[in-house]
Amino acid sequence: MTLFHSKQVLGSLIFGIALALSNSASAQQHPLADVHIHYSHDAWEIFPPKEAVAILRKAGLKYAFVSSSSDDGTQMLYAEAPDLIVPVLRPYRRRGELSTWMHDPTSLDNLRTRLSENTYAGIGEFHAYGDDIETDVLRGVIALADKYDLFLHAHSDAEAIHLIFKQDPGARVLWAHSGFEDPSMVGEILATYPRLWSDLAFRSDQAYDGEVSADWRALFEAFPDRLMIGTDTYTPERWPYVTAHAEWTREWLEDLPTDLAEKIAWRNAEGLLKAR
Amino acid sequence: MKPFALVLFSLLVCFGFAQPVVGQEKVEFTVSELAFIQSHGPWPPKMEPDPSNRFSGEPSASAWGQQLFQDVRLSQAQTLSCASCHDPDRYFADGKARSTGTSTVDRNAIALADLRLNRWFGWAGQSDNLWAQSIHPILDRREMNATVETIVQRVRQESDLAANYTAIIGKGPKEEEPLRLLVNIAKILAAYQETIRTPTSAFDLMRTRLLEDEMISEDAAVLAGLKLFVGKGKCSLCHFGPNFTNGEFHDIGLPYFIESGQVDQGRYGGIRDLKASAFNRLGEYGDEPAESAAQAPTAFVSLQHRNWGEFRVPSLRNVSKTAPYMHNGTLASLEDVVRHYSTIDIERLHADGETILKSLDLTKQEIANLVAFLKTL
Amino acid sequence: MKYKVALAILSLSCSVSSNAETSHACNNETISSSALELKQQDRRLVITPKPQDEPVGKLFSLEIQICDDDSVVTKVKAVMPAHGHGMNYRPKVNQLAEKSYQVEGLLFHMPGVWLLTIETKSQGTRTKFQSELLIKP
Repeated sequence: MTLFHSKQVLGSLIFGIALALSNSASAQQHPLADVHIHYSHDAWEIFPPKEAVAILRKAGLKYAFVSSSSDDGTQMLYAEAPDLIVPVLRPYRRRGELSTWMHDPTSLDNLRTRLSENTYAGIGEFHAYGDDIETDVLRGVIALADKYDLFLHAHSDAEAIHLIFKQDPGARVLWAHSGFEDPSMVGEILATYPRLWSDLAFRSDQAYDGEVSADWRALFEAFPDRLMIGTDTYTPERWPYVTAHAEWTREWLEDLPTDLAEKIAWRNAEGLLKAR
Repeated sequence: MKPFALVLFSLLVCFGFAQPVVGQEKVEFTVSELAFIQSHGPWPPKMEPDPSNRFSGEPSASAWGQQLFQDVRLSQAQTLSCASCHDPDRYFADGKARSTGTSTVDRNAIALADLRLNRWFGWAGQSDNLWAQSIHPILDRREMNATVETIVQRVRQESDLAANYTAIIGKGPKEEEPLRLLVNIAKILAAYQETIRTPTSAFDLMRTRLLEDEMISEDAAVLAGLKLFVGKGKCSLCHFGPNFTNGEFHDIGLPYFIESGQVDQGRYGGIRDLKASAFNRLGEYGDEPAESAAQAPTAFVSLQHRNWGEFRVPSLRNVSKTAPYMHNGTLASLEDVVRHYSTIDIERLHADGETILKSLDLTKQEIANLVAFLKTL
Repeated sequence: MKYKVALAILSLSCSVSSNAETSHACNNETISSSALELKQQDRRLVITPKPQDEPVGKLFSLEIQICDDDSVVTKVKAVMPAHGHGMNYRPKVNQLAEKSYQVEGLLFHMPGVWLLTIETKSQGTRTKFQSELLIKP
């Protein structure tokens, strides 16, 4: 358990090892990095860490970016499978804080404590829209991400993304759900901010019956290194969906050139981690 | 009436007030609420024959279908019929939380009525027509557990079944290809089931009086419940139209584990099954012209992540007689159902999901009023 | 009968708002009274729903007539902004003739305000036409 009291240097080492060793997915099953997993208290009560990791491995995941309410869930999974789990620090101590946390300074205190105790790759997934970014709590979060060299996993609208980069042009941001914006808008914002990546969690419009939509294909081709996939396990019942989601994802990735598919499948997630 | 109208001004412009005098209390309806009340009728609507079933609307077919519906020879062990779970004496449901065939199934037996109004069948909409849906329980190992071979053998060998088959289908069962024989039996069952109709309800009569401004001594609790249903509760958005359902699927924040760790995929699995089925309207077993089949909803339905754990919005007609409720029968009474919506856990819904679902925070009296209204359906 | 009168006023009020934006002509063709004109800068198109009655919970089609230029329709979608969801169906866009399209497989499963989006493309230029549609119960 000494690893969890280590700081940034050892954290980098762990991720380096994970990158080198974690090619455990079956050769038959194209590996995926699922960057949008939550493992909150109601999930770990039903799927204890061993079972949860078994689900992730069965889905053929190479990496699972996990954030949880509370962070204890992430820590339990990371302890179980450090080669697979990429820990991301969620600011919520329990369910029910997603629309209030930015006005609660104690949530920032919690983040500071956790960051001093554990190793993380990012902060998020947090919900913040528009000028929420200008609250003291969000300013503090962005500063902490800079201090610890972490990416921000932001469930945000386009305005909030602009404000994050206004505050810290050097930030690394993973845009949850690509803001549920149209691909043309996602493209505009990706073009504006080279250190913005974007996940496709909980959106279904990129493909239909295994066929990639023309507008999304154009986006993938324009930004081959910036988009990645995720499930979003926002209830315990969504954990079994990780497998179904992986199958659905592989279907439409087949419709893309192999190199591009592999980037979206997992290489871009790795790219986000390496872009420190 | 013009179907589309561009909104250039506040919807409030479209609102007005009406003041039916009722019993001891006065309940006022806005024009918007009255529009929803009007949309819940008239009853019954016109029900056209099923284009995918050439026996639909044929009296001889539905008469034989009624017999087959109660015929245990359609189950492997000859102990179960369709009516075992869809009991005519229980409004074509069975009163159990989860039904029992050869073993316990995952879902509640949905009450059968007014089925020609359905776009989808089953809690997950795994079928786009009633005859395909009727095949499921016959072959499901936990329900009637029969095989295609068993059905073919019995229809060919049992003299009454063979005689009816020949007379109504127009071809001897021995000359029929096995799968087509099963499909034909299912079509006969469907021809019967679609004749099951709910009668004019107390609500229908009240709706007419209300819209004609001929209110008599209406029950104040019922009217207050109706106002909640079409107003603050927004129930009418999903429980829409004369059959009190929009025919689609929603996640209403109920847990959907079947047992610990095993989940009911709901609509997600339903769409997967539908598209893979040889018996959907795009397949070769339907009876409608190709151009009609090409317009079937199956040609357009889109698999989405939110379909995971969604279940069909059921009709509310006869609802007070078909407890327990929800896809898995976990809510025992209408009071429980209303309380669920009153205290819904929005944390179980995606932040970018159906944003109109919020806990209604109803008072005890409001819950009683809403239940009183539901009992008029 | 005062409720019927009130309902008629509701319908009329909303229709008037629509007529204010609706042109019945596109390239001098006669367009039915149920048509709706959408504009984006100097580009226009006209949409006509089929069938034209009570669209809630029923599959329907849209006919799209491109006006003024040689754009092609690339995408049609509709969402309920106040609800955070779109349709459960994916429409298919078929070209009937030059500048003329039929979109099949639309279904509005709830009454309320739907935001219809039609995207077109012309010589590399993409145009997004949008209109809020009030779908009455």
